[in-house]
Amino acid sequence: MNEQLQSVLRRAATSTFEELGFLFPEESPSEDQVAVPLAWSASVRFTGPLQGAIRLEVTGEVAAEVARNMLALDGDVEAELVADAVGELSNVICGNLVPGLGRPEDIFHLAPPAVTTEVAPGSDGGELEVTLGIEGGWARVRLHLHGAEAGALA
Amino acid sequence: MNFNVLVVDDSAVMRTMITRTLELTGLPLGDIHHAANGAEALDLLALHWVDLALVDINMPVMNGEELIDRVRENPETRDLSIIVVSTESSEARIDRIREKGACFVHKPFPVEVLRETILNVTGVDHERTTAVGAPEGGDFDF
Repeated sequence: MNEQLQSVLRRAATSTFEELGFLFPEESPSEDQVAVPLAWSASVRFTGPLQGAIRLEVTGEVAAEVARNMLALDGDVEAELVADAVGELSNVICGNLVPGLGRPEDIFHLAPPAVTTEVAPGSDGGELEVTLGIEGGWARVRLHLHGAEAGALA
Repeated sequence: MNFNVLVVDDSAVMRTMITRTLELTGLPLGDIHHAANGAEALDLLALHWVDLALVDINMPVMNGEELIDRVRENPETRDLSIIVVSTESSEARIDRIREKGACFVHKPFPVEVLRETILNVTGVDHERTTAVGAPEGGDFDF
């Protein structure tokens, strides 16, 4: 169950970076990549047959590159637009993830993404996690399920 | 005749991305208006003639489904061509959207998918459009 969920989470994250951010993640980040500090964090809560949240954390330059790609811009991008792009990434990752958590007829409701530059260190436990190496940095996506479903992640 | 389009999404980045994708379809575009939620969209529709609306679902203030309901209730806008652009994957919810007379495109989407969906929902003759640029004769039937 855990491996299956992890596979669904990885697929949702990878395809979103590729199709929305026009970046191509590697399966695991290198030591050099993970040495770069995570700079943005975006959370999306969801309710429905299962309740929980995903949290996307990404390094600064990767976030900026996603924003540039989405906006077809070169050079510096305003922090507000980078935050918007990171939020949209997390929104689409969550939207692509939840079908893998239930049945086709299930309806999930996603809350708007909450984006911050405060990245919590480490894990607060009870989460499924995937990491992706992306260009000079990396990204981490965590899935947290509430209540009884949290046992599926144990 | 050009398409006047309304893009409704709470993400400014996504509105820009959708607009870029619209421009890449090669369809002749007139005015492109932007709104961050359903309420702003209704205000714009009261002021401007729009041929097509691209609408997100999950938005603050007024979400996309409520916007579609309000558009369909108004005799002046009830025939507006609407494409929902969303991460929504629930077949039940997508069916509900289609029952409101809207088409659906899943985010993210390639240019070709958007182009074909626009042609289908507006009823524009495929053969009279080209991949890039304006159609022959410069006029559409729709």
